[in-house]
Amino acid sequence: MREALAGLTLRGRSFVAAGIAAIVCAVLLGQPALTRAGVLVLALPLVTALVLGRSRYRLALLRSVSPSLVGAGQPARVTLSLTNDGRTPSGVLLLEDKVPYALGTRPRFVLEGVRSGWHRQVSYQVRSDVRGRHEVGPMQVRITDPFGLVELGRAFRSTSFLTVTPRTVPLPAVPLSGSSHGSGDQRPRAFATGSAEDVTVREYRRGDDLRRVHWPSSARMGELMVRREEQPWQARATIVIDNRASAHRGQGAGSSLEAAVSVAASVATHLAHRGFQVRLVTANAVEHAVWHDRDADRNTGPLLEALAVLQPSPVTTLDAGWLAEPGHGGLVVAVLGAVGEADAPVLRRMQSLTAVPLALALDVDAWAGRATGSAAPVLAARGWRAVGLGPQDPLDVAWQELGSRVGAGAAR
Amino acid sequence: MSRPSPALGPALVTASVAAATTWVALLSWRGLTDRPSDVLVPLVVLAGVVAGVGALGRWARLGPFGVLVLQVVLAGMVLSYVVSGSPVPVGAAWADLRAEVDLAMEGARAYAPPVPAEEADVSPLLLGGGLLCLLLVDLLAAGLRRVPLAGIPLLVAYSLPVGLLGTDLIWWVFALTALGFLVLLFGQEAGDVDRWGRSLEEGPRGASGSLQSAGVRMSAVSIGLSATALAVVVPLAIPTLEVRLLDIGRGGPGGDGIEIENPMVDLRRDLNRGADVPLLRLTTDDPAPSYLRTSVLTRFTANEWSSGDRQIPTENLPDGRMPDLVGVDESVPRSTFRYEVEVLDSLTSRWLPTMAPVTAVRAEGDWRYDASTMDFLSADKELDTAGMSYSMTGVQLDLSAQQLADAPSSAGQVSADFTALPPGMPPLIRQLANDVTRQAPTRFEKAVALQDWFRENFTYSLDRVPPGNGTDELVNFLSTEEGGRTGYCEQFAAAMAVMARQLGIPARVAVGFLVPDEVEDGVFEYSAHDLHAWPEVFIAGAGWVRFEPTPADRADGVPSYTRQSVDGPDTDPTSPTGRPQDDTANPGGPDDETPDRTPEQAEDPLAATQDEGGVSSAWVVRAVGSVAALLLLVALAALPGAWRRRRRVRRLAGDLESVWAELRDTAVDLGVPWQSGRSPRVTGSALREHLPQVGGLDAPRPALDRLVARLEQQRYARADSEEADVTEEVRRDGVRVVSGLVSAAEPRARRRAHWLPRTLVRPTRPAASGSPVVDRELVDQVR
Repeated sequence: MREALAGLTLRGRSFVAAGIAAIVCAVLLGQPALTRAGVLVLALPLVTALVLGRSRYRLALLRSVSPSLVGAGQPARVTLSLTNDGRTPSGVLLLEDKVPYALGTRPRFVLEGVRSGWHRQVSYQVRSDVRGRHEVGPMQVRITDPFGLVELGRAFRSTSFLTVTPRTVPLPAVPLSGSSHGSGDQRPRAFATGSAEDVTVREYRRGDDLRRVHWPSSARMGELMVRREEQPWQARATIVIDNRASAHRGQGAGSSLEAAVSVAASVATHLAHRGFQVRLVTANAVEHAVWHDRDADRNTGPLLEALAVLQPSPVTTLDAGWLAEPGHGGLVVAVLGAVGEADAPVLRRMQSLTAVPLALALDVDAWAGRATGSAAPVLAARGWRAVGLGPQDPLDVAWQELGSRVGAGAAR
Repeated sequence: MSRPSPALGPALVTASVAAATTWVALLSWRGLTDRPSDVLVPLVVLAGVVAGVGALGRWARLGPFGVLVLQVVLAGMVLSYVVSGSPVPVGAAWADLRAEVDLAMEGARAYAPPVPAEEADVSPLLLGGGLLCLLLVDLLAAGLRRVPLAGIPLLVAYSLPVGLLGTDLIWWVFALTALGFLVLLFGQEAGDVDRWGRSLEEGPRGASGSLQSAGVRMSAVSIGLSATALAVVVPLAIPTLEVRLLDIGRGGPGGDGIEIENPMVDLRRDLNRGADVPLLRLTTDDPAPSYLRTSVLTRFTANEWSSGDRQIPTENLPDGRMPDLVGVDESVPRSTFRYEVEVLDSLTSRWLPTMAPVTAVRAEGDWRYDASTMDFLSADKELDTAGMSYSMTGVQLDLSAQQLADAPSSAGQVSADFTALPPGMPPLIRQLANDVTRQAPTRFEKAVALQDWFRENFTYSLDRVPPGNGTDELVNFLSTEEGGRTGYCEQFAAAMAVMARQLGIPARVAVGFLVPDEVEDGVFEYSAHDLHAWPEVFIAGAGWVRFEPTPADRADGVPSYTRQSVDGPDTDPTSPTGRPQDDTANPGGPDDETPDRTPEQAEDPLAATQDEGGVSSAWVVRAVGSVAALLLLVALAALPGAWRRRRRVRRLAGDLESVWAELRDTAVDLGVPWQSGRSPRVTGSALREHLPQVGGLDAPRPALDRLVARLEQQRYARADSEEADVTEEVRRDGVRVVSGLVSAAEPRARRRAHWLPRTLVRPTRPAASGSPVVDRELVDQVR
């Protein structure tokens, strides 16, 4: 009751004030007609508050988002499962799910006269063109009466998350390694076909062919060791994305960082589909520098998720910590923004990891409205295979161009 | 369902409900004219036009003000057709319309409601007002969707007649209007909710949108009905104080309104009846009682003198002392007499005959007086005077002509109603009044001049005169033509009062009895032929002074009255309030009045209370009663707390277990969680959190620790362990913990525990375990 009285709407408060004023005037001036109207206007909000304050409903909500990871522009469906365990609420329940505006309009539902044990499942669709991790919920509930005099605000507390991954572009298959003999395809291959100098061994297990016993090791270890016939050949690719705020221009969805994220996501997806084990390195490298499994297409998920939540970083220099870790090799694809003199040492170290590092250099100033050219020529001069990318340039064309520069090292 | 424009159905429903509600509110105008159907039936048509045009216009998306213009044009045509017979008021029809409206305005000014339709048809005015209300309500409720604002024109329409009629309104008109208003409000809210979001309820949706489910409708109906019922019932219990800041809203307060019969009509009937039936018997110590007043006519409309509006609040009962005499100076010498009145069955009157002025009246029944006129009116329709007896104390003022002539202006002492005249008075009356009183300098002398003029130049006759006291009759009466200057007391009193008002002197007409016959010693009898009317004029310092313009040769024998001689006002001023009967005893005139009557103030108990008591006994009784009721209420409210505190004292004086039980009840009272069914140590440690953190051995926390330790020892230790007498210590600790709990509690919880302790009813109830569960209506489920 106390809460319901505090929840009087403007109309309810006006009614109370008008009612009191009318009754006082009526008593002082002796106007029975006015007393009646005053009592009516005063009694309405009070009775309403009493009725509304006494309703004992118990609404349970279960929300699920499927899929919880969608690409930008792809729809996802939010399913709400509502149950009333208590009594029928005497008011009207106005439900509004707090959905970020990037996901579309907030869904609103009117719930009236739901009985005890009432159960209903409703779903609505959300869609976002903006990558990120969006919080769906909490559901807000306003309880109002049939006359609009009292309004109580309540809210569920549970929320769900929907991750929207960056937009990706299918890329053409281009030769990526600098080696001239290959088919252009760095497929994993049997260990046996390569050099067998550095043999790895393991303990003997029943059933192993005796011919495979590696005697020198067995002598050293004191038990039978056998040669490993094959070893997974790992084709690895490292995607470096420069997400420093200082390297990019523009704000929000129209910024060059978004384009860089989209490029990185496209490249990562492409490489993963080609069998690479891809890892993502950002300006503040560490948290994303994990090798993702290359088992299936689905496993680009965590990578894309990481890209989805990638935020501009306030650091001023590219982190070089990951370069010191062992186990390098493989492909390096850098998605770069503006490149300064201070970045030269890091870029040089990256170059040392691999034979020919690839770079997609964004012409970041073009996002700010003035095209000054990308860093691609500078990089090419340093021995990178680099192409520049403006806001209007299609990525697949640029990627094709990057592939055609095998060994050329020239920038356009 | 896609629709290009708002659905016609809901728009029609809203407009119809708005129009119907307005029409119901306008039902309260029935009393304004004596042919209400002339107004209400065309209003149905107008309501239909307004609602239909409104709904169609909104359906066609004309915009609220476009719709209004269309409504005004079409409904105006209908109105014009109803009033003047032509839908387009141009040319002759326009003149006709103007004439009708002018006539209505005139009628509204000239007549008090209910306005007789034959005399002046005010229906054009009422129709216009009703149409205005209909348009306003339709615009606000349906056009602009501001239903709460539409309540204002509804309230005005509904309460307008209160000011004009002075009667209470019929409750069902109010209830129906209120319900209509609530339906409109509900409809608007339903529309708002409908626009807000989609309903989760599947199935057929009503045409009027959301809020269709039975549960919500039920609560809407219950809220609306209970609020309406409250509004109908509660005002009966709300007293009206009748503080008249502004002179608006005449008429009695709630429940006091009664129909006033016109005494003048009774007078005529009784005088013409022929037989001189005894009506009323008076036993008194007054040697020569005379003018016995039944009622006072205060309002002159163009066609009659009427008793006007009366303020008769429920406290104005004839239960003893009356208010001080209106406008009478303290210095005026006076004498009082007791009168015992016995009304015979032959007199059936809803007015109580009393002396004027009176200081005390005691009568059984719901008689009420108006403080400004001091006449007594039955508030109960079933109540009349037949066969009743009552007592009163009358006052005779010994006024001197000189004092009356010297009286200051009476401006501001009496209501302007007493000088009010209807507009359009014939100039003859004013001219005559000025001519007659030209020589008289003061108000009193003007009045005396008028009285003398009537007495000298007019003929009394009951037979040759048509009854009536309206303007036309008065002009006939005052003119010197054939049949003029002849009449009976009704015309004399009415004409003199009207002329006095023309001169700006507050005047009114009193109706009552003239002179009784003495049937035995001290017993007098008034009969039908004693009925009389006379004017009363207000003179500052003397109050309402009686005059007697009826000529001395009144036909049927009231000899003492006819013998009354009036001297010239300039030399030997009359004391008209002096008693004419004196003249029989003392022919010398009222100046050398010999008070052969003994003033009896001291012997009159009723008068004595008036003179001494500043506060009336009724007032004292009421004050004492209300104080007692208040004390009773306070005592009732304090009872639970007192009961609880008594138990606390008893328990805290008991042994360890009872102290512990008291601790638990205190905690429960204060809403502090109490771990029942746990060991004392667990309970104690939970309770510890709710005690103030104060150091020292006397602080509540150490006291609680000691109590817990002793309780453990008592409950769990071997019985033969040390039996030290620690009871006193335990009790002191118990008091400390209890006061600590109370002082640490929230003020609200403390108040609750003080006035309405939870453990009052079930002190031994096991307390809920753990903290109280807050009733959450919303549950988040986690998968």
